[in-house]
Amino acid sequence: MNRLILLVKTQGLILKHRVFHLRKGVLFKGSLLGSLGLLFIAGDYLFFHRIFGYLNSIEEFPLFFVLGLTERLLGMVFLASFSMLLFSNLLTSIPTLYLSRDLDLLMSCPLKRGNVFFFKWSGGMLNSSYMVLIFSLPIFAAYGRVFEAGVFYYLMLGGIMLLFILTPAAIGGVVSLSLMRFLPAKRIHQLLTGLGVICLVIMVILIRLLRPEQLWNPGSAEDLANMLSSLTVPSSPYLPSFWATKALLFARSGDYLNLSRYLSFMLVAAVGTIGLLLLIARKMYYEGWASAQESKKKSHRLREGTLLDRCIRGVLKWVNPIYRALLIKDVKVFLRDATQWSQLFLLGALIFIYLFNIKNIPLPTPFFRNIISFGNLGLGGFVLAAVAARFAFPATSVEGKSFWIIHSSPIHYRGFLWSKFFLFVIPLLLLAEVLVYASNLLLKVDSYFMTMSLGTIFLMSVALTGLGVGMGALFPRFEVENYAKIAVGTGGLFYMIISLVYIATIVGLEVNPVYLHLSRQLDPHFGGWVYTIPFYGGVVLVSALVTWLPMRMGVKALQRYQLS
Amino acid sequence: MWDNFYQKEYMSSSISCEGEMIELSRLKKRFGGVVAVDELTLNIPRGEFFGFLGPNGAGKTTTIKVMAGLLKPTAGRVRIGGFDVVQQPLPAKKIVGFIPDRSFLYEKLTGREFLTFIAEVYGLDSKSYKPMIASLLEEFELTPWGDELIESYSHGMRQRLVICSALIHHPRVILVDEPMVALDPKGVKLVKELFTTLCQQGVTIFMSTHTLSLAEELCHRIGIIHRGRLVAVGTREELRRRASIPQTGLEDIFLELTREDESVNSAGKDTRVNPQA
Repeated sequence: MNRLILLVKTQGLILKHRVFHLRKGVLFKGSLLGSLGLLFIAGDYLFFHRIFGYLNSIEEFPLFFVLGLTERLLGMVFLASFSMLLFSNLLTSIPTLYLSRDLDLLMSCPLKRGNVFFFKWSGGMLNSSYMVLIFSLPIFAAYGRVFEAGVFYYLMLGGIMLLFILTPAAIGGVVSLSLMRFLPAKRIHQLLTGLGVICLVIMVILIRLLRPEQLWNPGSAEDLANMLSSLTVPSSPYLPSFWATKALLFARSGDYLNLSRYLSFMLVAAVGTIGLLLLIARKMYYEGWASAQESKKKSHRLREGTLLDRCIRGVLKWVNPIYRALLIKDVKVFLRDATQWSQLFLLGALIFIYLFNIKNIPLPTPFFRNIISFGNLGLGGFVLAAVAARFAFPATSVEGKSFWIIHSSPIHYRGFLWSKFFLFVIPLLLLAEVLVYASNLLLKVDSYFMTMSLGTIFLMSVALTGLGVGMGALFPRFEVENYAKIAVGTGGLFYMIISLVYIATIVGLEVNPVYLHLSRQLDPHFGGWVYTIPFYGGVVLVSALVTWLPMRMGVKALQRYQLS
Repeated sequence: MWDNFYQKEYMSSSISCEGEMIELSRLKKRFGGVVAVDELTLNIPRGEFFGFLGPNGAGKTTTIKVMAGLLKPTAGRVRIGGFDVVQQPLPAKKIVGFIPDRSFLYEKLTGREFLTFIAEVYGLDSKSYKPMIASLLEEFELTPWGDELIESYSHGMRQRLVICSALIHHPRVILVDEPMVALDPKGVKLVKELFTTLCQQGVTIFMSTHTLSLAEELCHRIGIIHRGRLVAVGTREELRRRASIPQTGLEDIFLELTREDESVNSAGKDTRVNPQA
């Protein structure tokens, strides 16, 4: 036990140093992200305060009906939180329990394996749960405030949430430990990530079908009641989310007997699952960890001059041999690194959700369709910016600690960065054109809008790739090992802000030509196309600048870069 | 293999083979308030094996990184083969082979693919680099693992691969930081023989190391850096005379010259020896 306390104290010390010894850049990023987080919490609270307030103010419904609806809403929140906790714990338990770098040290120290396991598992639980808590606590606070709960409610809320996060964390641990008996750690992680993306898509579709916008501005009280009634929340009395909902409701109403009943259920579930976890861990954890070490060393034999190799060389025959070498290296590393290519699944899911949403937009008139298509251009640009943030922005940082190879080689950084640009601009162009073309087909827009949209998204793809690759070189993060986390930084944030400004500028420049076109539909004699030239010229000019300038700045930054 | 490594290269070389290959002139490197390298002046002629010694944190790796173009000097100048590494980085890098102390490589490439990548980056054509890669892999006993991903390599195998990559373009200057880390005795012997032969063929080697016996055995001259300043430079005999300890090994000389001394601590200047004398 003393050793476990020592581990926790050391972790606390690391956390303290992280918080109190922040560098300037990190401090800035931290305060920016902190402010955004606070804004989110405030928005979350206000949104649900308004909904609960609305339910509470409907006079034509009896109180028991209002409370029933509230229970259903809270049940939905708890069920969503439970699913997210379960999934998040499943996803983080493999890297935390088996792939963390500190495990080599911990396992070699005279520490009980059970202590090491419990320490890593509880750390993973906190990491997996805090986001769900940040999202759900303001909702329960809003509920308490609207329904005038006392201090007891808020005290109980803490206890309920603590018990609530334990069970899914223990279940996640049990599943991961069991899977490790049959599959290598990395393979399980990929499998779970894939499953997660599918779950995410299903969840978004379900939420979309519910039309959540009606919650904010319901046509009538009956609309809202019908909507909430139609929510088929699985209310099995055996689910921890059901017990948590009941416990929360009884904590507000002060029904101590029922509260203690549901709290006991939660406690028994938590203690039971944790007991089972520790039992399984005792039998399986060390063996699983040891086999994960072996799978890290597993060799992969690849013959020289494979089909992939020949294909890439064939396609890039005309490219300067030095930059062709860079491109071949990048393509091979991308295709062989599951952490990189697995993001393509996320991309696929994103496109599916996007087109699904477009298909479900009500389109009463052709005029309205064209307007939506124009708005879709901005939205498509935003999706493109997000995708470029995931793929083009990390292009330089992904060199990682191997960047010394490039930095000490006789390579022109201009060629280095432009080779990265060409690597990403082609797939991004394909994605954007397909996305806009498919959306426009669904929207049944006219040929003018189709041509304009395809042309604009072409320029946007080029510009956003240039901006991403260039800014990625301006703000390189070679120390970040997780590919997905490279864009989550000050540079990534700046990139997104500039991208949004750029997209807004392009859309703004095209408002006038679109207005002229729509007016001509109503009156064919309206205005001439000559007036559109300066605006479209502006679009081309701004896009060219947004492509070229960051690339140039990125090249300069790399030339100045010092690899300490 | 190493005996004819440079024969053809030098015949067609456009770089002057005469004079100083490495020139450090009043080199200074500062990180914030910390001076890592201070007023370092050194001239190393072609074909010399130069050992760079110093305690931990003395400035050895910083000096090598400046020479390799990974860091920019705060003041002073570094010339490799007559090329200023700041003003003319590309021609300078073309003639340098850099072997760092920690070998971070592209884990998802095979050893052969990595060497192919390096060869192409240095502008070699496939007719010349393919047999060269095969020979290097053979010489460093990596052929059986040549087509396996680097992620499955041991530390020693990675170090061998880095050495291969530093040699593939026939460098005139080799900058090497702690070369023997992770190498097994056979690997150490191979590298020692390789470096000696390359020096005989006119390659200049600048080696930073903690292994005093290695420096003693291989190096023509040795420089000792302490707290960023070059405190002594010369052959072993010259260093022994300067440390005023006759009939002793390099270890005692090193300890004497890097001894914590008020004259060093107070002014950051060593008054005992004239390093370039």
